[in-house]
Amino acid sequence: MSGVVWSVSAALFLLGLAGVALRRQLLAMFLGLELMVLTAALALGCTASLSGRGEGFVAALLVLAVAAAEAVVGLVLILRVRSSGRPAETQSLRELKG
Amino acid sequence: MIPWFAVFAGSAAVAFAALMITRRSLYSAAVCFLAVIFQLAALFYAVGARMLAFLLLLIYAGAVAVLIVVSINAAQEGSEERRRWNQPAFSRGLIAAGFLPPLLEAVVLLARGGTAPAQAAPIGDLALGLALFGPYAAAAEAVALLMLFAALAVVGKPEASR
Repeated sequence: MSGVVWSVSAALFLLGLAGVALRRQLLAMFLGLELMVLTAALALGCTASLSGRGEGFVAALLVLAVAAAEAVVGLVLILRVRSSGRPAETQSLRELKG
Repeated sequence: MIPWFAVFAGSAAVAFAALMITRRSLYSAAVCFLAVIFQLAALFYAVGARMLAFLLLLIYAGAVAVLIVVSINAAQEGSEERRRWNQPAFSRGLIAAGFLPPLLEAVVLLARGGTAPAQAAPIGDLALGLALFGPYAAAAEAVALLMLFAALAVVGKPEASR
């Protein structure tokens, strides 16, 4: 069981990383980032299941909550970029405004 | 003994994640992300974390997925991106394919009385709650404050809104 879950976690993490690295749209990159966070929580849950203690599940639960907050902030930032008149793509975020 | 339930859920999750990063349409990517969430919840269930599976479905499939779709709509409204992001056209077959594995898993779970095949020993919800509001209460409060700040970030300053 744990080998299957860890393999799936690794594959999903790599796929999320590929999504972040290869896509240009900010929302697509955001989906890849969320996938990476969720697979980390899954690996934590699997480790907690192996150890038989509840602390790992608590950590996974906190990771899920932080990821939900991060999702809200990330989506708001993407919408702010879009509302400033720029396309929500990485090419529009090459320069910092000083 | 091969944990077929976890193998099926994991294979479906990897397949939909691969679809998610290869589809050009953001709506299709969001549907694939939703399908991945369903499969991750099944995997959480299989490792014995039932409460986490339900919370994952509630938070992500119920709230964050809706936020993502609304953001896609809002971000591409009245722009050239709408035509570009929606190609290829949104596939209804993808939705059906995304909801078929969770349906099969739900049938298996119902047929077996709520226990997944080769499921790990479940951690009791009481133990999880006691740990969350006992030794880890400070961390739980910190995360709650973080979520409050995230909500404030959404509201923003009135003069900053356009």
